[in-house]
Amino acid sequence: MTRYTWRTGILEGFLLLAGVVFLIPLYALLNIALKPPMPTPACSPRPSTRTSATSPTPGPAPPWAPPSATAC
Amino acid sequence: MKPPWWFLVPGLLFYAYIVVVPSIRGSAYAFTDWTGLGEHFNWVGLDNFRDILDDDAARSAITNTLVLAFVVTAGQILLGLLLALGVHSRVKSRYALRVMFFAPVVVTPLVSGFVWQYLLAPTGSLNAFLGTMGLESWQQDWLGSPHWALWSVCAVIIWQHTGISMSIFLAGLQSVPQDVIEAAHLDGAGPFRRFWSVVRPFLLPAFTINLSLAIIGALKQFDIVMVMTGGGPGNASDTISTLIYKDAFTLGQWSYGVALALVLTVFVMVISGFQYALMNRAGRSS
Repeated sequence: MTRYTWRTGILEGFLLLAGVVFLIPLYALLNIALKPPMPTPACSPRPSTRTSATSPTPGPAPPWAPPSATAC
Repeated sequence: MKPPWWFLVPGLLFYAYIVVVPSIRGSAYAFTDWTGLGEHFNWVGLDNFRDILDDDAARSAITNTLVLAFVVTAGQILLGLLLALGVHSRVKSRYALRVMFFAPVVVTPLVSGFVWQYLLAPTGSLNAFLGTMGLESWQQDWLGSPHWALWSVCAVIIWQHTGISMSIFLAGLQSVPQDVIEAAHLDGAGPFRRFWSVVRPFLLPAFTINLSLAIIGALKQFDIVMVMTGGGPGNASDTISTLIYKDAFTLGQWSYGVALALVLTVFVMVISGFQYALMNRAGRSS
């Protein structure tokens, strides 16, 4: 049975370096997975499909409009 | 007592019903002009196979598949053997190292393809690292350059599958009797002589299994190539598998795709049969 010599130490250092290199993509994977999601607006203004020749800018929301449409 | 042969019949019938019969019936489409839609088709004989010989994309895919199979098999087996020898030694962290080297195997190829696509992007981590080290001239568009795309894919496949080769070699190394190695050591054999003359003959079964798995896996490689490059740029990293997918499911050339699949099957059978016979002969002679 061989003993732990300085050669074994060098081999161990080299193998640990190789092991770390092997794990870099997995670190990147974990990093991507645990990154908080991109901030998105809670609600975006709904594009209007109606056009009016007399009033180009949209007026106040009607009282019967759903809350999500008036929240922004 | 030896069980009677007809005990095999139900299993064989089941296997024939779900594997053999569908494969043969599917293969027949290679000799037609079926597009994958409708019920009508004509028999065209060997026209699809003639088209493969005339098709630049198919010829490029066949070449790429053979290059990829050779590079991946050689890299995977060499690296797997070196790592197995390393973690079989007296290093204190050998158990942790085995886990580290085996870890990529448990990641889905699709996911590892996406991660490596992120790392090898022109603005990705590898180019950023090279820039930090002052090696700007080494920075490449690893997946977008026709020269580098196939080699990048090969490197990722080797990274993903080396752990399996290492495990198989490690099992082989653990079956080598320690007293034989110690006897060679006492007789004055150095590390290389001990490996070549004592350890290597014990590792031949592991070599055979590793070669078979690596060659067949590399010839059939699809998901990592498709995710990382999609066979591009152009056809620079297209393999037979990715071309089958494109022809059959994207371009509507079902019969041509089946013909390509038959070519791939023949490749796998011939190459793996050849290497199996070679390794058997080497095993008998040693």
